[in-house]
Amino acid sequence: MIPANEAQRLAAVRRYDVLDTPPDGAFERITALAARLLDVPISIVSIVDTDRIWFKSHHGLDVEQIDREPGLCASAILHDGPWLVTDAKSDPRTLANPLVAGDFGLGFYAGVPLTTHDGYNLGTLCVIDQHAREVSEEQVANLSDLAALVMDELELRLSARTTVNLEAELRRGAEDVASTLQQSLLPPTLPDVKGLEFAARYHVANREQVGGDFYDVIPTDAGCAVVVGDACGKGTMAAALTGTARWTLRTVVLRDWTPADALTRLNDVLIRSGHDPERYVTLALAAIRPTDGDGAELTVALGGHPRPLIVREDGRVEAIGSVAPIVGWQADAAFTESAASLSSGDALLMFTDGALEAVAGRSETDDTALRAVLGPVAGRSADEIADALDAALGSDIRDDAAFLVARVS
Amino acid sequence: MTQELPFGVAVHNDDNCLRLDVSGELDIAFEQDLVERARDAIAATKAPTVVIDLRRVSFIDSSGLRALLVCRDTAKERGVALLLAVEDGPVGRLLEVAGVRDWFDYE
Repeated sequence: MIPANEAQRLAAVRRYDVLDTPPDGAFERITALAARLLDVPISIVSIVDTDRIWFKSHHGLDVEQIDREPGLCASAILHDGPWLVTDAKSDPRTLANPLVAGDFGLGFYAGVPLTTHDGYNLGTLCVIDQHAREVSEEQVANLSDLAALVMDELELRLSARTTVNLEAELRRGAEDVASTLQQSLLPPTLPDVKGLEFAARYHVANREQVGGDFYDVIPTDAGCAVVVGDACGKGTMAAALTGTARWTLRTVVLRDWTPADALTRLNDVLIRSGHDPERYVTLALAAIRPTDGDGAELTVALGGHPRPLIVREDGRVEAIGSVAPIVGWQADAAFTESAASLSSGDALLMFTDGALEAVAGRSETDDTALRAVLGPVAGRSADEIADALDAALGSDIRDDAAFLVARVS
Repeated sequence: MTQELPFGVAVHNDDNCLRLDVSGELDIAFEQDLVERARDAIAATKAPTVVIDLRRVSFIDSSGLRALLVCRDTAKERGVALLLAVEDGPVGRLLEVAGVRDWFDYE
């Protein structure tokens, strides 16, 4: 009583992944309906496993599974259509069966195989009575329709599960690519620069996508270059633009550079680089040169970017930088520099629009909220200032947010 | 919590002027929407002037700005005058910060 295609059939049973799942309303309703339509006390949705018959639903019978031998469902799945035993006790196919001859005393069985779209019989929808009985053609047709309904339900669940698994897999893949790419766009660690300390934070709004924000600290002959930027858009296009911007700056600041000059060259490179011409970056670029005393000279140039804030040790907060255009869109863009002196304990905060939005909310358009966070932590370490900002970010970060604190130690 | 307005573009076309009334949050979610609506409208219009009215935009980010810049370049290519209608607010602030206020003409 083993089907010819048993190995493949069992593989199909595994594929539908229904064995030992909890009871479930849809199947309960179908067995109740089958019992009512055929006017019998017992109806079962059975799945024929290697050595047992497991009941997905068992109406009128308090049993969850039986051995495959002597189950009648194991016989029913050998046939393609309904399998009827109207008088089991006298039918030569079943009269010696222990379920028939034994205590249970089965007298009537009608089962319709649950056939997958690719032709495997997983089990049956069957009805059982202890007495022999006749069934009409219409009742058998009803039972067949209900069996088709059971199979539809199983197919639906399989396809939903497949879709969910596929989506989860795609999402994991996308997150993996995004986070790998993201890491390649940010410095793995911030460098040691004598007289300065740094802290940076980065929050992505969506882990499946590479963010467009970036930051970098690049040691130079006289001190360091510090940049925080935002490539417009998201995903791989933004990542490519970010990579070009970051590595261009890393090259430009190797020798004889000023922030405004570096932005002019970056603007030029981005326009000529063959990037999608409809993209741009905004950034704040600072040169920080520690002086012989214990302070530093700061020069800042902006390209379409919010003004960085200087947090004085005594609690004053000052914006620095003068407005200049976005970088990478228009060839004649001109960039200007602003300078300030930093004393020991003063810090520079550079941030992206997303960080401003996350602290202030979308309805605020200035840096008042940021200043309110910075005042009370003036004079603290770069890490403590960054932590205070982190704590002030709302829970709902809708855009990527990056910021970098450079402090004169 | 800010009130989230649905993003929308209403197009009004007459012989002299094509108006695009934009409202809601103009961010990456709707950037392409605006670019496509504006490009199609600019391509179809016979009017010499296009006005993008941004006074009812409650939020705009770098993607939204990109959309405006694309509209500007499209209008320029087609020889159409593009004007923005802007008040002090999120759009005005972004144009200012991005250093592109004087890249546009205003109604």
